[in-house]
Parts: sequence; C-alpha cells; structure tokens
Amino acid sequence: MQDAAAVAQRSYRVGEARSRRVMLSPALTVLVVGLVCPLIIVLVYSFLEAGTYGGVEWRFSLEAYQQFLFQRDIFDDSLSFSTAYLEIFGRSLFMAVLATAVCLAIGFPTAYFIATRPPEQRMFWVFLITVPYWVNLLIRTLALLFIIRDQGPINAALQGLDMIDAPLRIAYTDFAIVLGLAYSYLPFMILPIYAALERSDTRLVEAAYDLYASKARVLVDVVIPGAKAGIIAGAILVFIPSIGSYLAPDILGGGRELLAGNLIAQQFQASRNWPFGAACAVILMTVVMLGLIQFVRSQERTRRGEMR
Amino acid sequence: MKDMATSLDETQVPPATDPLVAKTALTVSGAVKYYPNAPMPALNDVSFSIAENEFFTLLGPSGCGKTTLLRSIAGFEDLTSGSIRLDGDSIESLAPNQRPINTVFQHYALFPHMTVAENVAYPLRRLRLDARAIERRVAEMLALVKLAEMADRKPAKLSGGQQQRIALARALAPNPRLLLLDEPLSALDLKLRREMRTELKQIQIKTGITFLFVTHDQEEALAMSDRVAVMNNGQVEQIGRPEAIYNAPANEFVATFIGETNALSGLVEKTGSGAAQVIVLGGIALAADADLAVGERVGVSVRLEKVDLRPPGEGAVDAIVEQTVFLGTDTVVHLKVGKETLQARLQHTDRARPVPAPGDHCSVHIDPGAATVVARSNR
Ligand SMILES: Nc1ncnc2c1ncn2[C@@H]1O[C@H](COP(=O)(O)OP(=O)(O)OP(=O)(O)O)[C@@H](O)[C@H]1O
Ligand SMILES: [Mg+2]
Repeated sequence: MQDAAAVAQRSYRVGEARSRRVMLSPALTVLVVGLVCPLIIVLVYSFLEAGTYGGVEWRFSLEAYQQFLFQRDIFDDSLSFSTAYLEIFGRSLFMAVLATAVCLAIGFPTAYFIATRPPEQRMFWVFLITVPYWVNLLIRTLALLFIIRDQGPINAALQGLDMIDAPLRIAYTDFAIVLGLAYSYLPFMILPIYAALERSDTRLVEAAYDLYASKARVLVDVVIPGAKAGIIAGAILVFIPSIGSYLAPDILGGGRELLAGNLIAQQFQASRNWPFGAACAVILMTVVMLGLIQFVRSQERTRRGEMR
Repeated sequence: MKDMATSLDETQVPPATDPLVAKTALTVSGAVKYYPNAPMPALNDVSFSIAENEFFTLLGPSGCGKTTLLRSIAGFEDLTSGSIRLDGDSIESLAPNQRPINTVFQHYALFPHMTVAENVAYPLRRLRLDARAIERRVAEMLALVKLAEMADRKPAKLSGGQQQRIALARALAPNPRLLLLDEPLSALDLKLRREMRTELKQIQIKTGITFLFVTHDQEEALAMSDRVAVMNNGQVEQIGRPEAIYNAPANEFVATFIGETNALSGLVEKTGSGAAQVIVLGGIALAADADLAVGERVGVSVRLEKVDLRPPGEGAVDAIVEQTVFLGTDTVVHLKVGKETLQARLQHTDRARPVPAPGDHCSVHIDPGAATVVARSNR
C-alpha cells in the first residue's frame, strides 16, 4: 500500500517535472536566444581588439576598458586619466533620474485619477493612456520635436499672445531630453502605480479619514505607502530604459552632448570601435545592475523590518 | 474636536443608570437611504436615539442595512432624507474627519506599515496633541486592551483577536463621543468571540463611551447590550432591553429571529377588558393582552423552554415524541400534537425526570402567560 502510494507520488512528481519543462521551453528559448546570447556576445566583444573597418579582431585585449578611463596621447602613447566618458555616464544618470521624477510627478496623479474612477470606467482610461503608444517611438519623438521647436505651435502660441519676443529655446536642450524621456516611458510609471492603487485597501483610507486625517494626510499616510510597490516598479521601469536611451537625446537634444546611449551607438556606427561600444554597454549594465541589487536588498530589509 | 482633545483624561465616567433620564447622545430620525440604481431603499425610515454611556446594538439579518446606517453616522454615506444629531447638533454637513465619532471596522483596518503604538497614536497625532500626552494616552489604551507588550510590533505579527483589540484601542484613544462597531467580532473564532464579548462590555463600562454596536448574532446582542434595535429590510422592527425583545417580541420577525420559538396559530375564544384568551394546539388556553376580537385567528409565539412536558393525561393536550436532539446543557424534543408540530427545550437540571424517547406518549402544558401574540391575520 505504502509503496504503491510512494511510487505513484514519485511518478506523479516526475511527470509534473517533465510537463513543467515542456511548458517552460518556449519561454526558455526566447530568454536564451534573445537575452543570454546577445549579452554573451557583447561581453566577449568588449574584450577583443577593434577591427580597422568596424567589427572585431579575435585577439584578447583590455584596451576598450582602458579607453573608458584613460586617454592615450597620440604622440607618445602615454596614458592619462580622463573623466570624459565618466561625465557622459554621470549626465545620463542625472537625466534618467530627472525623467523618472517627472514621470512620477505626472504618473502618480494620473494613476490615482484612474483608480478612483468607477470600476467600469477604469479600463477606458487605461486604454486612453496607451493610445499614443501605438505609434512608433521614433515618430512620437519627432512629433514632440515639431511641437517644441522654435517654429512649433508652443512658441507660435506664446508669441501670438505677445508673451515672448523671441522663440523660447526648448528643443535641443537638456530640458527637451528629459521631456522626451519622460514622454517615452510615462505608461511604464502609470500602469504599475495604477495596478497597486487599484489593489490597495480602500478600508484603510476610510479608517484614516475616520481618525481625523485630512485628505492630504490620508494620501501621505495611507495611499502612497499602499502604492509603494507600484511606485518602485514604475521607477525601475522608467529609469532603466531612460539611462540607456538613444532616440530622445539624439533627436530632441540634437546630439550636441552625448549621453550613454548615443555614445554606445556612435561606437558601433561612426567610430567603428565595436569593443569600446561593447565595453561601455557592459559597464553601464553592471552599474545599473549593482545599483538595482543594492536597492532590492535594502527594500527587502525594510520589508522584513515591517514583519517584526 | 478641540474640546475632545482636552477632555481625554476624564474618561472614568460611571455607566448610564436610566436611559430615560440620561442625556441623549445620538438621535437618528426618519433616515432613508437609496443607493444609486437600487430599487429598494437600504434604509427605510429609521428612527431611534441612544442615551449617553449606553451600549446600543443594531441587530438584524445580512443585508438589512446595518452597515449603511453605521456608515451614514460615521459620515461615509449621505442619507437620502432624514437627520442625524449628535448631542443635539446636526452633523450631516460634517466630513468623517470632523465628527467626534470613531469606528471599529470588521476587518480591523490597521495601518500595516505602522507599529501598534503608532497605530494607536495616529488619531491623537491628527488631533495635534502634544507628544507627551500622546505617549501617555497610547500607554493607557494599550493597557486597557491588555496588549502593552505589543507596542513595537507591526500589526501583521498579531493574531486576529489582538489586531481587533488594537483597532479598538485606536478608536477609543481620542475619546470619541460615540464609538461605532461594525460586526467587530465576526472574524474571530467562537471561543475568542465569547471572551471578547465580556471584555468589550467591561471596556465600555470602564471608559463610559457610548457604543453603537452592529451584529447579526442575536446571542451577542442579548449578552452585551443595554438596548437592542432589531432591524429588517431597512426598517427597525423593535427597540427595547434584551429581556423585552426576547420575552415580548413585537412581531413574528422579531420572535423568530431572536431565539428559537414555536410559531403557533391560535383562535381567540373570549375577550375581557383588554385581555383575551387564545386557544392553540386544539386545547391549550393562553392569555393575550392585545385587543382582539372573538373568532379572530392570530399568530402566537411560544419559546421552546416555556413548553412543559408532563406524563400522559396530566397536561392540556396529548403529544407524541418524534425526535430528540441532545445539545449538551439541554435537549430539544420535537413533538407531534394532533397534526401540528411543537418543540420543547428540556434543561438537564431535573435528574429525576428522564428525557423522553422517540415514540413516547406525553402531554403538553404551557403556562397561560408564556405566549406573545405576534401576528394578526385580519381585522
Ligand atoms: N454601495 C452600495 N451600492 C448599492 N447597494 C448597496 C451598497 N451597499 C449596500 N447596498 C445594499 O443595501 C442593502 C443594505 O446593505 P448593508 O451593507 O447596509 O447591510 P448589512 O445589514 O450591513 O448586511 P451584512 O450583515 O451582510 O453586513 C443591501 O441590500 C445591499 O445590497
Ligand atoms: Mg454590514
């Protein structure tokens, strides 16, 4: 009896494991082909020598990483420390943080608005949020450029109203880049916050309101803590594509000052220095990943604190 | 709200002595509530008033409008018509955070990211009490609910019963004029529910705060309340002390909803001055003080424990035992009297008298004063 049960259970487990493997295989294939393989290629290329006309020479070299921190003198071949690329990364980081902040400032009220509509109307609002994103990112970014450029409708309107004499310089500024980044990734902020707000406990809101909290206090004390998971998810989803983003800085910033994404793109195109481009990508990815791991760890620590 | 803050320490008020003499705390009059798109009103002309320091209970089946009424008093719903007064002043225009009324919610609604002490301190902070007063009050409240040692824990680490006590401490902390409790014990298991019942009553007496308690559990209502309002379909069916509700139900709904009862059909035989005699089960005469006409058919409620079983021939009518149900402290006996059925509850105190077995013959006696007329067929 007992043996039969054990055998049955074991064979069930084996069967289950097999069917799990079968079910996971499409996802695993996509992950390996689409994510792991390209990452390995990038990592390998970053340790090779640059080919003269692009591509790589299959010889091991740390030249690419050296180039990131040191400048080689053309005449005597000596290395001197240079912060040029670090500054580009720093600027990208700063822009990504600003874009995330802008997305949060616009996204939270929007998500809150949707989550407080009657349930049957919410899907309609979510749908409206996604409509602009059916259009290709490049087209949308170009459209934004047309809106904010010197001859665009904003400046035309302001001048028409005699509020300004000369066109306001919006396009090709850092402001335009942040605006473009925020516009590109806004739904990634709105949707997770909306999901968190919708799931959050409205009874807590009522309890706080019953216990003499003003509406603003209810927001700070109950609504925002309740949506924390969504805010974090949204911030990560906006920050990561922002820091490596290529289109918005290129089009809206006019490519005048390089950001990480443009720097990397340039290495594969104009500069034809694939290993250096790969090394930049690896460095950027490593920095972001370490930052994220650190962040998730600290989050888990506070969560564990909450359970105590 | 400001004077609430100053009167925090004066909580040792003696309980109400006589609800008729005591000051009125809350008055609800003619409350009607229609929810949008609902054909039937959730509240249909509800009126009652609660005396200061009273433990008042709203009792009724699911969906009868108890929560709607409580939420209207707390300020979360607007009445379609009617008025709510607290200490004589209309409070309808006040937002929930402006009413000196606090609620203990069924699902506790403790703030998960705050410690127990921070939860209890929350309303006091919002009322801008100074830090030392808050600390003192929180300690006092945690001592009241016997959870002082849990002050620094997060709510998730407490049991259901403990969470409910913290919710109670938090709602009592600002010393509200009225405490609303919406089925606060229904999520607890039976044993805990019984314990909390006693404790809740003690806390109410100790703090002297007026309690408006909502439940669908009649035992809970009878055990704790000074007065009970029985509700059904958005209306109040009867208001009275627990004994009055139990012993003299105003109508058939109250009689059957509270306790177990035999609903019998009776014939009015002779009427005197304001008193009538009603014959039930083809031979038992019961007194009724209602103004009835001879020949009228009426519904009569007789509690199970008021039915007395005697040896054959000694009672007014004969009966056959169909079934007996042992319930621990007592046994319910199902009887057949002629074509009608009757139930009797026998306490196991009289050891000399054995519990009858199915098939036994016996006779039934009912004290003439034990019945309540609960339904009139027509006039
Ligand atoms: N938000 C709402 N919209 C429409 N109808 C509602 C709403 N809330 C309650 N109702 C209806 O009003 C009636 C009374 O509901 P209420 O919640 O007050 O009952 P209750 O006595 O508290 O019941 P329970 O014991 O189940 O909690 C019910 O018929 C319910 O369906
Ligand atoms: Mg309810």
